[in-house]
Amino acid sequence: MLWAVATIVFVAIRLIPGDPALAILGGPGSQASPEALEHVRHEYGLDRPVPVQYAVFLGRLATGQLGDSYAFRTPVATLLGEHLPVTLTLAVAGLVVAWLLAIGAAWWSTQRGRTAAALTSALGITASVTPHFWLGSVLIVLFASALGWVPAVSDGTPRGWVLPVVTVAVPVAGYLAETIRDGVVEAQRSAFALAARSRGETRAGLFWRHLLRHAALPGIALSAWAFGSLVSGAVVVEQVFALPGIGRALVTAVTQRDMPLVTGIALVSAVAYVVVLAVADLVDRAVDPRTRAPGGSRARVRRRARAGAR
Amino acid sequence: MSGIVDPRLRDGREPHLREPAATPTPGRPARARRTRRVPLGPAGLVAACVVALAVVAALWPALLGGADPLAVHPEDALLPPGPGHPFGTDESGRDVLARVVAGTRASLVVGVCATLVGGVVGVVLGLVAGLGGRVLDAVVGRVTEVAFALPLLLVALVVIAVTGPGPVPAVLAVGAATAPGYARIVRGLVRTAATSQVVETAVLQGRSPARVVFRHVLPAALWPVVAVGTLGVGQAIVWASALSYLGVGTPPPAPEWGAMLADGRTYLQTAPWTSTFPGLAIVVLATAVTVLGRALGRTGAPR
Repeated sequence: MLWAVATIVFVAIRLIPGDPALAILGGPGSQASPEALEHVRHEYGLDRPVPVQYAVFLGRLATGQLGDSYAFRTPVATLLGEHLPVTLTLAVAGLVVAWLLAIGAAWWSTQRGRTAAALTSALGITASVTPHFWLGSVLIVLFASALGWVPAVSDGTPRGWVLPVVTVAVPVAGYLAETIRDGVVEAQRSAFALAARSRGETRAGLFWRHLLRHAALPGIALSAWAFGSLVSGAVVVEQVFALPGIGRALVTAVTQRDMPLVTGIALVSAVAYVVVLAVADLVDRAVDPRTRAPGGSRARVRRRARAGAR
Repeated sequence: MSGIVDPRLRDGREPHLREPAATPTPGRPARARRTRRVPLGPAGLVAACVVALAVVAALWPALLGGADPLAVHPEDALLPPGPGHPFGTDESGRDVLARVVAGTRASLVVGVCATLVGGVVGVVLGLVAGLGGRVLDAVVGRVTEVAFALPLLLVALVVIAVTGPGPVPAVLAVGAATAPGYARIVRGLVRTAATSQVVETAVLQGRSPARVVFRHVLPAALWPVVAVGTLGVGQAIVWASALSYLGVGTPPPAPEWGAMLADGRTYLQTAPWTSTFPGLAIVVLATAVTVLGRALGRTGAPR
């Protein structure tokens, strides 16, 4: 998986028109001397055949060397270490907030009649196509400039995180809400919902204890994708709120064609995706008893039996 | 069906997501049974009107905008919305309404072209994977998997890093980022169609493979792709404007919604209207296209 990502990025780098050595020396405007270009080419191994370069590239990656950024002139690993925490905080907090919003919306839309359902559905669609950069601006104008509740530019305090996190969370919450709502509606029609109600379960109890567990599964499966979407959003939101995250480094890297940094960020995103996928799998097991190991479910049955005897 | 979910997720393995609503609507069984297709519905009609308005704005911007979107009037800089300038003016005194209207063309063209690029590449890849045997299937499967592991914007930015910034690279970037999703959907549909009795019969009748693919397999896969693609246009508009916002899409003097928002950022505190209206335009158009796409997905149940 990571090897495939690395290979694709390597091919992409080779496809770039223009001389990488020139990019290292500061782009076409730098008027670097031919000797300096030659020196850089040799130093970075660009004068060697492509297969050799590929082997060296993979070898370095395998030993964890991501190389030096062309633009920042520091090791990519250091840059990632500096910028990654901001983006990760944004994405993880965004995922949590998106889930809370989505569950709230699903509750509202399935329990409060048809008007509420239509309203949340419309809001969900609108939210899911709202561009982060615009939502961020609107939130700044409303809550930072007009009302003054939270700072417009993130200052490192928890209050400063509120707007950026909400901004990344809302579009993803739109998707999740729609998925969860569909799941709840489907579950409401099933026999187990009727059975639970006939046992005297309240409507709220039915929703939280029975329907949600059923409806959350497709949402959990979506979460790995949602995380990617949150990272996409974070790239934009970091620009809006002037957060020193990986997204801003990425935009700089792209405009300056700083390939080691682009490679590093792509690999880190792929790793993050794999990790989130694994976590989603674990959560899925926790929520869905059917996917659990036999021992676990037996313990559960025993617990149920005891509860029933009481 | 969760019609607004990213097309990349709606692969053929989830029958409940791609199965068109063949059953009549519960509320009006008699009518739905008589008509061959489910009607668009009120929301779909409103969305269609909004999209039609956007098309008019894209083709004849002078009809709606009036003023010259590029005319600079420094003495009228940052006027609030009022008579003469319903949406106000920006930092160079340009009419925001005229620029929003003029920006429709860029957004629509980029959105539609990017989706076409993504759709065509996706259909070709999906056909290759679905019909080309195990090795090709595995190769395409690997590539799409890698693309899924990377955030959409990252794929787009990597493409831009290769091509350099500009509107055409933005189309290619968004197209390349969305193609794997379509490939996955088409692969699933093609697989299903290839094993259907219609295709089996055609093969037994001795039809040429090309004829079978173009007469029977491709049409079965096309309608769902058109519906999902319409949804994708909304997303493509948003992503393309995001690229412009980041400064790697359409370059500044041209009126483009994302670029206008990026310009308006500086004046967010003093002149919020310069960024409010272009953003609103993106939301309204993207929502309309999405609603229309969902409605088309529901109506797409002939036979």
